[in-house]
Amino acid sequence: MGRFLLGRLLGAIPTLLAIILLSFAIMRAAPGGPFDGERALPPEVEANLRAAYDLDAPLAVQLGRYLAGLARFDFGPSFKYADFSVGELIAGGAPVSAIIGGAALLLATVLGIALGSVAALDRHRALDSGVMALAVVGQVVPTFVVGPLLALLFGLWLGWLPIAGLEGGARAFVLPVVTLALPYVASIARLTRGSLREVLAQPFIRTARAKGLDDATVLWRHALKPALLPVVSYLGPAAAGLLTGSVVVETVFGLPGIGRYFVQGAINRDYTLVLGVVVLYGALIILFNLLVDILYGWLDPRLARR
Amino acid sequence: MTAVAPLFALRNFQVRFDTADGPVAAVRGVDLTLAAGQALAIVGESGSGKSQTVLGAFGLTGANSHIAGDIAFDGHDIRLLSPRQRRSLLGRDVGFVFQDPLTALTPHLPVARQISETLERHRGFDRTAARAAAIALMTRLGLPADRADAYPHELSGGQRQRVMIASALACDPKLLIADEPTTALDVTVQAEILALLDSLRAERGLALVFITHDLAVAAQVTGRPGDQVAVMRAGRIVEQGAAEALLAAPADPYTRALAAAARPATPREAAPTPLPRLVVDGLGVNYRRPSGWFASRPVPALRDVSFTAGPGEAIGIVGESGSGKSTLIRALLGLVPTCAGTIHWQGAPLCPPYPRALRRSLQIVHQDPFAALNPRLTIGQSLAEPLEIHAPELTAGDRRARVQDWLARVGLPASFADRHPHELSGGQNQRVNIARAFIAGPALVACDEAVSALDAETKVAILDLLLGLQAETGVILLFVTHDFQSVTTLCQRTIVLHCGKIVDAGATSALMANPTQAYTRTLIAAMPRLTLPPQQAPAKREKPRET
Repeated sequence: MGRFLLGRLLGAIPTLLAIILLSFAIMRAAPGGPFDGERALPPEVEANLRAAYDLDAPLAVQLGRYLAGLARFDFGPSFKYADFSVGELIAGGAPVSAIIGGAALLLATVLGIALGSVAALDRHRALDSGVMALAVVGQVVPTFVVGPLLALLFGLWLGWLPIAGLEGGARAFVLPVVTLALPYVASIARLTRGSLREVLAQPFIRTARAKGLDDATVLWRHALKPALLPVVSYLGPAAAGLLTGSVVVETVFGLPGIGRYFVQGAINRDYTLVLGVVVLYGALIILFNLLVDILYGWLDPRLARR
Repeated sequence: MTAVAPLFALRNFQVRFDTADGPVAAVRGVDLTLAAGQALAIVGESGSGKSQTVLGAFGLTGANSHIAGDIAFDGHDIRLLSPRQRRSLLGRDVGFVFQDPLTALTPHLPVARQISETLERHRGFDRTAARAAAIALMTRLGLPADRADAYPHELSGGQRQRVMIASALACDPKLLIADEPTTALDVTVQAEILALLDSLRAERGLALVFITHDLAVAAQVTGRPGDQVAVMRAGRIVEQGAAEALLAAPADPYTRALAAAARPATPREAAPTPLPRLVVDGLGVNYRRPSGWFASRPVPALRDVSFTAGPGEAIGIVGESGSGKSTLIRALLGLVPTCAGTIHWQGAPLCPPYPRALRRSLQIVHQDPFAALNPRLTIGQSLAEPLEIHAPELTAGDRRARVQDWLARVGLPASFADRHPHELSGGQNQRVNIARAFIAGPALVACDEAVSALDAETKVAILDLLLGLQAETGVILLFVTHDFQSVTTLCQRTIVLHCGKIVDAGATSALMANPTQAYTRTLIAAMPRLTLPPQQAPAKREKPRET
């Protein structure tokens, strides 16, 4: 196991390098640059800026310097937010995104698996149809519709929860977390139901029932673990996406997370900011996929690595 | 046993399933009685309703099933019990052993836990005590105690079935229901499991319902006085009675057909050996098992295998799972690399990758008739494919004619060309697979356990078909199996493989009549057999009531 982990972590380095190289190339290939604005800068000013930010060096040299900085966890200066380094920007927004994303992940996992199990076990089809209809709605209605609707209902009309910003402590997080989690709840519920249905038709479930075990024990001890395999593989990339924030939720609820940097960085040609969030996202994807592989072995010992 | 109330009785018992195509009656009025300590073997082919009868009686047939009729078990009227009361009987007073123990055991639970959970559920044992009892029972049933924390996939087939039996017997039930418990096992392992069940019956006074498609196996488990056999077909019992009398003189034509299928076959005449076309000399195959990051070490799968085969010959290749018999076929077809020895075909050495023309000559029929056909292609498309590849000169019309011709030759109606594999039975699909192998005019057809997944009667029909096709086309047949009976019917010569080596070879009749090698004797002795007098004996038993 230790060997496996070490191998996978070492293997992550070339993957990350490839991600950086690709993003670097794409950003530089895109037309325009970080200092383009409404009004063209005088050439000498722009030349000074380019020199200050090291953009006049050959591309290979820039890439090399960026990588050298990265090795020291220095993500470089932001081009658009003067006076801030990319590291500072991410460190400032990441906790907010991580808290909201983590809570949404937890909510989506627990609620999604619970709803999916209820739907799969339902013998009368009424609950099943109800849950699945809700899940379809949850999947197709976009976050930018759900968010404002929830804010309208619980914030403005009922006045129970704050609708923007971080004032109000934990209560301020409720609406963003729920909004962010909803589509994931729906997906996980559908995945769980489908895969649990399949597992419940397996011969070993009949064996478990033939031992006189009740439905709850059959579900918890015999059916759930193998049924969670597809859910877990979905959760890996989903977790990375949730923890790095959502530009829609941050915009709707006015939150200072890092989700918006993905969009703003790209629009502003803020090369280092884009690379910074991409590296973070890539690293999280690699990490969570590793976790998924380890979980696989726990859920089904036939897949375990030794 | 006359005055005692039966332990288990069904009267006019019926099981119906709601399906997408409307209700399907699986069991259409079955009457059974079983006294404590007795054995009842229910014999029938797949779809006869034999499993649904016992599963339905204990509420294990699923949510889309409907039950009718009377079910009495151990003084309870099962239909009057609440689900909770019924669950408290399951695993405590009645234990179940199912067919393929690899899929019937939970893959992620250690085997001792799968035995002990029954004790926790019904006997109120705590986890430690239940585990200790489970390990004691494992040892009693011949399982090493250090396998307690193994997962099912880490055990052999026979060990897995012992785990199943242990979990069914943990609470010392009065009735054991075994649903095809040995069908997925090798013949020697089957013999061990049958012996184990018999000794457990004697030891615990256990009543046994044993479901099988093999009359010979049924005969073996109903060897004690009072034991019964019931033959089922299409949801009804066609014949039922004391085991000995029924097996000695089957009255119903269906039972007689089953008996004929289970009877020892007359060996195929050994023909004068033709000039060999296939010469295998000192063949060796290694599999590579990964060890470390990039390294792998070789594991021998075949060692020093030599034999020859000529046109019109059928060679049986017999062995248990893991003996290397499928590997041998794959090596001959160039599907796995060889590490030693040579294969000569028509005088020229073979080495993979084989040219396309050679693929036309060497064909294969697989074990699972459904899995071997592309589910999305019609039967006609599957049959036309080899012609498109190997006979591109044919027009679409020629191909269609050839497909129709072969459907007729394997005994299928022309209309099947437009059907899909899921609309056909296993036997019909296997006929399609055989037609697919023969259609492009091969010189050698390898059958890898081609009849193992089929019912007894279907098996006989498919063997007949292969015999006929070989007589017409003169192909070499290589027939891989673990079943001596089909080899006897089909093959003039037989090779016995054990652990990757040929341990015995010779004319099949000589091998069967007078096995010289110890391993061959073990295999033959493990074969369940039916020794029946000639078939015209009169019927003197009660005929079951038609409902």
